[in-house]
Amino acid sequence: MADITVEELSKNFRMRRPAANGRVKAGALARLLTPRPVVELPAVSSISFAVAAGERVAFIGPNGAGKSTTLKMLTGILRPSAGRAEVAGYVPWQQRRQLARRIGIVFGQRSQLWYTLPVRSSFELLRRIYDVDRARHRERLERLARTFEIGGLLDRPVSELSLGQRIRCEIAASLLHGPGLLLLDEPTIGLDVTAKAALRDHLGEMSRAEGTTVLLTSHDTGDIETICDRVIVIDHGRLLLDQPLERLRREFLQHRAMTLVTAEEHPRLDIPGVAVAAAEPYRLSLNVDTARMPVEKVVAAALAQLSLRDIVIENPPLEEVIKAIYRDGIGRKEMPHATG
Amino acid sequence: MRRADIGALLAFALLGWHRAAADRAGGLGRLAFYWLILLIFWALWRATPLQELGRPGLDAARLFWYMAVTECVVIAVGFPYREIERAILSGEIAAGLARPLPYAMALLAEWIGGCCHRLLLLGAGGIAIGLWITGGIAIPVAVLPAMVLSTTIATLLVLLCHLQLGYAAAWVGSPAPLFWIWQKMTFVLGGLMIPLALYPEPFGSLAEASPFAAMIFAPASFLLDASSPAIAGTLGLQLLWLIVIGLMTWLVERAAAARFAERGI
Amino acid sequence: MNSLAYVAALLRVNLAACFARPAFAATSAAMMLGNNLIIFLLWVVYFADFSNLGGWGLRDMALLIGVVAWSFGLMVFLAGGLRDLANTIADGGLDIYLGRPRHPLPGLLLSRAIPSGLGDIASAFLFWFWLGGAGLGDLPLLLAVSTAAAVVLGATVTITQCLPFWLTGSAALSEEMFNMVMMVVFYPQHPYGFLVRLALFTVFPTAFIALLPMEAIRHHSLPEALGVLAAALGYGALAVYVFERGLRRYASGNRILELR
Repeated sequence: MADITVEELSKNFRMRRPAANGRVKAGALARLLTPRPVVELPAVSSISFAVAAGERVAFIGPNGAGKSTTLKMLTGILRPSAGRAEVAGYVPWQQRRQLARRIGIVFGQRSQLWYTLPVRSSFELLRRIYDVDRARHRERLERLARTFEIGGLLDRPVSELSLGQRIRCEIAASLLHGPGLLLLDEPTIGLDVTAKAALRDHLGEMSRAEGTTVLLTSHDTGDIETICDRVIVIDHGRLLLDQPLERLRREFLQHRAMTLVTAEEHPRLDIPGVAVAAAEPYRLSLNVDTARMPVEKVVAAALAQLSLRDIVIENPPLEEVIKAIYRDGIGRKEMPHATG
Repeated sequence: MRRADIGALLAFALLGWHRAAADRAGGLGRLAFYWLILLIFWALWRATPLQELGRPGLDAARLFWYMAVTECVVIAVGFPYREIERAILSGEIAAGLARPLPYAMALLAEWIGGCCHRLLLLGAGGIAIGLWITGGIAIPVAVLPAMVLSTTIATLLVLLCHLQLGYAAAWVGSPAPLFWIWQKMTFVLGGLMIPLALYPEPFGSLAEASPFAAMIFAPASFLLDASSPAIAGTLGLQLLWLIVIGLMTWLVERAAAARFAERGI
Repeated sequence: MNSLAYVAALLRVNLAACFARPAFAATSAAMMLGNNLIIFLLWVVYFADFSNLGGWGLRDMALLIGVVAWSFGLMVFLAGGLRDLANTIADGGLDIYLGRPRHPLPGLLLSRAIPSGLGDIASAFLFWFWLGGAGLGDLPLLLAVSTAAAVVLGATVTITQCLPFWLTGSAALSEEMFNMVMMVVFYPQHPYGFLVRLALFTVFPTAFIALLPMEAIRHHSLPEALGVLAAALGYGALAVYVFERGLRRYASGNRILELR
């Protein structure tokens, strides 16, 4: 059974253009009274997809692609301009409150915890908001505290937590009422590498253990690989790609960008499956096709052939993935700069 | 101060002007607020037994114009201290402090630009409603230049106080309670509603010598006494307070900067 | 029953958050008390010059300030979220509340307690009994009309703060409108002419916050008191209606973002 069904969903925002600035025209009062033209901006344009129960789906796209707008329509926060959607059997914007009991929502950039109070106080309030009985709340809290390793944080004020700790508490807060579907909007935004990795592990573990359906938006390809098994790519409000992670990984995520900082002024490295993206004095930027040559072998070869001062390995940025989807079409296996 | 700094400050002032011009809803809101206050006081003064004062020249119309001037300064300035408060509490002030141009100076320049726009707008609005309600203008043309100069100094004094109040966030977190007290002091000791000349003694004289009178009462006082010695005395006192409050602002800004440097933002 | 427990839980958390910084809470409250006393000074000066204002004396002014202080204090202390409502709407802050299985309005309004409200509440008693000369027997009437006035004030502020639902970039205008309401209620309204009074009973219903409660208190008049109570119900319902209509247009901060 599908947890989420979306058909031809669209959202346009109406706004007034800012007034032309910089020139004094007909006097302050006259300008105050001049109306500005209204324009309509499409944020999401006719997208369709379905998510089955228990699936873990990443909804990805660059900033302004329309992913948060879609997520907000699916939670009933925004009304669509056109199209249909059903989430956990409800039409979100018509049955928002009934739906809210069945889902958990996390906004990476907004907090639902009281800043000056201990985490536990906010959890207790959420228990009231979601009408969860005491015994069940205690049992859920214990389990979530174990999964997200927040047992030691519960009695500390939110103001004293690091961002990573706070986000873990935010996610636990949204799971306290035991929702079958978890929607996360940019949960890893602003986190450092270690906190991101910890959060991804916790989320993955929780979803596998409880069979929770997960829909997560992100512009970080790292989130997708660790947590999800299916990817929907959206750009400029349009659905660009919808396929299993395995396929996306094979086609677009098998490359890693590697930068070597060397003692040699003109470093050279010759390994099959590794393309040199840029060579500068004391620096070599590589594109590694991990299907042909695993990262650890490249590192070993680099250590053997060069004297390294630093090494940086990065996932392909989302912009590159999207560029590749646009340029090469779905199914082509090479990243655009892998041949360069 | 270098020439380049002056150019940058002028650019900030221009930015303030443009921001005020672009904030059309806010501008209209202030104008409506200004008119509303004047209408309220027109009704109150007309219900007041003014004959009990024994001053035949001081009628409801003159008191209306008095308030048109005092309120113009207060409403044109608004609540700019909140900008510094927000910048300090959010840590955004770090970006401002990292610039070669002093943050407080730049902000003050921006505020001055915005106030110029709003003073013109409210001034025009005040004259329009005053003409409609009282049927004439009670401001003698000869005192107009002195009044404009005095209004400018008064506005500058109020803005300097807002700088200090904003910086107070470095110590007290939220300066709102301080602000409300300071604001009410300007209302009472500045003679916002009732001219200080009508205050019982020695309260009236004390208030007239206070900096609050230089911020509110001074420009409107020319409507009650337009003699040259009175104008010169008022402007002299305003300049004196400008130096004192300017110095105080500089000290507060330095203390806040030292605190940021030591404890972080 | 559940809803009551929910509101009680919201209030408990707010009070705990408010008193998490006790020194700040006490200072804010004391400063607000001082603030109200200074406002009263203006009227001391006024009544030193004049015998009356359309039949009102200094005691009537004290009673009025007491009524307004109680209404305002109660509003910001119990429903401090009202003060940020316009900004919350404009920058997409409703998302959190809309994601919950509850009507978003109580959660929003009761999202914080502003401690300075306690100073206002305390000053109400000072103004009524010390400066206004009211007796203890007047307390039920004072509390009833002032609390109803607080509801009208809260409803009026809610309606004005909903403006960003319809008008992009109007959070500042909402703030100005709030200041206007507070400005009007702090002055006696009985000397106004018919048209202004009509406006005060309809568009900006400040007559129900200041004029009518004062009439009820000064003349111990039941019809006026009932008028304020009816206005509390009517404007309360109107505020909920306006908020719900606005929600349909909620853009979750997108319009603001796009404008930059």
